[in-house]
Amino acid sequence: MTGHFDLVVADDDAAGLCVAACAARKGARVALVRPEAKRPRTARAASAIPNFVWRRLDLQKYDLSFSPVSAIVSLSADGEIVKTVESVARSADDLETRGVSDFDVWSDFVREVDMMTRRTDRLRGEFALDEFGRAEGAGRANGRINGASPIEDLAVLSHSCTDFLDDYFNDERMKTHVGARALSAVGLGGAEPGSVVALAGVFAPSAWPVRSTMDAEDVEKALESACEEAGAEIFSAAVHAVKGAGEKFRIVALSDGQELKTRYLFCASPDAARRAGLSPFAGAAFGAASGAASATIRLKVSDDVVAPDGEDGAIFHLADDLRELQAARDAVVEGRLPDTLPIEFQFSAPGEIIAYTAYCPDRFMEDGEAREWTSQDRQALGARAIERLSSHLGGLGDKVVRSDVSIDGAYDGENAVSAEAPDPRIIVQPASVNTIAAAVTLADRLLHEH
Amino acid sequence: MSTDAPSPVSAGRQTSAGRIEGGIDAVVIGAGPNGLAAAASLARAGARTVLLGATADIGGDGRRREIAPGVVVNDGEHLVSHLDATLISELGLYKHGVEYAARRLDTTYFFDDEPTITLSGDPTQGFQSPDVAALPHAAAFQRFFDEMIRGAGLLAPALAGPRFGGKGATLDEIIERADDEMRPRLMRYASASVDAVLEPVFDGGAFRDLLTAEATFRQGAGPHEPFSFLGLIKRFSGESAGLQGAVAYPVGGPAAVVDALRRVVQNARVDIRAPVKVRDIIIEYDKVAGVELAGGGQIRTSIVVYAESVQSLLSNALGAEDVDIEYQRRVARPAGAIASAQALIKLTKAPSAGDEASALANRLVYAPPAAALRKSFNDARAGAVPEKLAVEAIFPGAIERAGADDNDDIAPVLSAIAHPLPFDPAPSQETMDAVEKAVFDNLELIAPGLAKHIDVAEIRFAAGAGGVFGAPSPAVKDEKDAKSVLLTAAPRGPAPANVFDQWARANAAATASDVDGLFFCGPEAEIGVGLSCTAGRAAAAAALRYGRKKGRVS
Repeated sequence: MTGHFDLVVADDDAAGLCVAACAARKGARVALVRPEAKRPRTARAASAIPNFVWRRLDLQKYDLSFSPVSAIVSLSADGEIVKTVESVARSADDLETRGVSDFDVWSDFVREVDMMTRRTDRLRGEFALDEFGRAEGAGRANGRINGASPIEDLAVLSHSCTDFLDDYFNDERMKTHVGARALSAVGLGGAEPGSVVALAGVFAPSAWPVRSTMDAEDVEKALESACEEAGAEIFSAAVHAVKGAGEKFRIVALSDGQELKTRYLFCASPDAARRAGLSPFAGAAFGAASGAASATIRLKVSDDVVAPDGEDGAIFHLADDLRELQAARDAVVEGRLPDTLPIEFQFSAPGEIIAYTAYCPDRFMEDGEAREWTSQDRQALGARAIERLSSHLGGLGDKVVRSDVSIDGAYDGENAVSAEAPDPRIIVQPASVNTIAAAVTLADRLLHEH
Repeated sequence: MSTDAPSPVSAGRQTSAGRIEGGIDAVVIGAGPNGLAAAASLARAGARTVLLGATADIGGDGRRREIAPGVVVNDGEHLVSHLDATLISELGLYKHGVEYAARRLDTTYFFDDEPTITLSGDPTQGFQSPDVAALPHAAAFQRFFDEMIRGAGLLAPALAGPRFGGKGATLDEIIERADDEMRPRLMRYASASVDAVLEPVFDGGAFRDLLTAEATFRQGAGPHEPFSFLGLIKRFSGESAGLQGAVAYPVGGPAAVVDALRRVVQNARVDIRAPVKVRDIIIEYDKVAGVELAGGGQIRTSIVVYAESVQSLLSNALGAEDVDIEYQRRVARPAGAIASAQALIKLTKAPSAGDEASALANRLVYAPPAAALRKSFNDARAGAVPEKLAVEAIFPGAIERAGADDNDDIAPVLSAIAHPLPFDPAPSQETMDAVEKAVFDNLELIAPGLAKHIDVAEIRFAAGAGGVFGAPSPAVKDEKDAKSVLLTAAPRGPAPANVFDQWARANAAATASDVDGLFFCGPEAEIGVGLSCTAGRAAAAAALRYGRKKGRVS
């Protein structure tokens, strides 16, 4: 036995690193297991570190230049812009200026999403802690002073995102703005049952994303230092097997033969689980979208390509309407690339665009047969992404100097450590737009119990 | 088979304008299966009960009908899988004519590229057929199935129907009480997608296809959608005559159950009045005080059991202003996207005997490949008629005559349900043609060559709320010119998304109106499809408890 831990965090992307660092800082015994295979680095991770995590890890002392994302901007086909910013009041003003009729419900909406985020966090905690309903036991005896039962939370969160947005907004642009952002990380369709859960954390000022002009690799190096300084042990290996060790513990066997005893094995996202060698279905989780991979498209472009509306520091979303998101999700479920690819992008540095889409199948279905991703598929995806971006950035075609497509979460069933039934000691957090915030919150909750 | 429905209506017993009637313990509004069950339960417990039907057709959609001269079919459900066991014993339905032709139908599954699989209708007995045991994944399937049946057994009480006044278990209480091994699985079953649960167990194959088809059949949520797995649990939580998971066929079809309920209602001296239009439920100090009829008369009562839709409760009977806004929000269903079609087909000759003869008395299911079914749900939701449909078919005549030496007397009628189809209250001719083609194409996979033997066919297209199909055809078609006829029926309501959603709404609908003395058991209080009457029985039980507490019912 190489060690005894409260938490073994599999994978080393920013979410895993933040969870490990935050947990270790709280005094938990933490191991970080990093898969050997290097994956292409992306800038997305950096843009998703929420303020509160930054403060908790004192990231300013690592010589990182972070600033809050200036705005979240959605662009529709006809060039219309909807923009919201960290300040709820300023967002409402901007919406009013642009003639979006729903500006007056924006603060109510953000408040409701905040409530939903708490419900989601609580529910995920109960799923992860395997104490569905039990954590609120005292509340139940007292007539549930703290509100709804977990199953009622589940009922609220089981609805479709589209229905929820229809309840709130009249303006289609507004629905698209919120839907595109919320569903972007998860690759869900808005009409899907349970897709309302994707709204958790979206547009919350408390978890507003920050961005860095630094390379993502440097950001992750800094987070790694934070982990080491906080006392987390780092192992370079993949997960080979997970064995039982009584009800409360698991032995995580690594590919290099070392064995780690732990209370929990934690993966911050289904992709992280896959990279670590685990099936995304191995753990207990609520709301996990299955069958989706994601793509990061990194573009070097000529300097005359400028950000729409002068928002160099914004996150942009391209989606014409909610139907487009649903159609893209349908394509993913059927194992093909969407005809119209919903895309998120940002200008990570002058002359560099990083685009991202979670609307990719994890494997392709052709004539009823599954096949894995090929380089042609990656090229096709890159071409579609550039085409889409081009229509919003004034003809990108000949201004792309270099493009690089990487796929995360592609199916690799043969190597995955799987289980016919979910193991309550393995946590695979569902994909979400605020992966890091949700993961750190969930890990806090797990550790709080001990 | 008799086509004469009993006529229980005491015509002329109307409350006339201006008249106020007293001495009534309970009024049941709505004379569908749930209304009948509620009225029978109340009256047998000694309550003086009035049953108000909106039309003269007591019993609702479960009726017999001629689709061609001399060809009588059952409308509505064609199988029974969830009939409330307590109701059967409390009302003595066996004494009133319910008799099973088959208590546990075996199911034969048909696939695109794999040989058929026949599974025992008694899932607790395992799959002892050596043919099945030799199939790839058979051992994994057996393990998985056993666990699922266990889960279904545990969750059955919560999935049977809504919970009134704190009686009965909720999903979370059941999950909380489960042992450490079962608890995380139940949590997953409640919220996971079919794909998420099946993927780690089967990487493909016939068993995955059949489970996917069973899980999503007549559901509004596709296999990849969260909360869709609970549909499978619900399917196997069915109780028929107290037998877990059974799919049964009563002599005369499920309509015979409704006939028996009607007889119980008559024998229990329920005062049946129909057609009667209810204008308003009278509320005084947040309590039910009576019912006002369209003619102006009133019936004073402290208990109303409401067995029509929530929509009619809010818009007609109660008035939205009397009801908590949060209640309205919780019970209002979003527009549905998915519907089913029912096909009733008279063949030119009786199904042939021979090797397949025994299978004719089985439940026959075509299970498309799981990936194709995912695409079908996407297509249907987007408004297109899918190519591949899951189909469930029975030959009622063969089931009733199972075990007979010859097939000569088997009525050559096939009843089938196909799913998923787009929810479309006013389909174009093009859509109807596409539905017809899709239904026949997929039926062909169960009964090759069927198309050549169709005499008269009728396909109806409806949403699944309440699980009963729509209005009867306007006219009997002439045999000669009607080879196949597609009639659309007005949907009874939007199709619910999934069992979890139905569970949540059913409980909200049944328990939270905040009006004392009002007990709701309309279609929104039902969980899953199929004739169950659990909501009606439970609403009556809650009404009796309320009445006794108030000293109004002895």
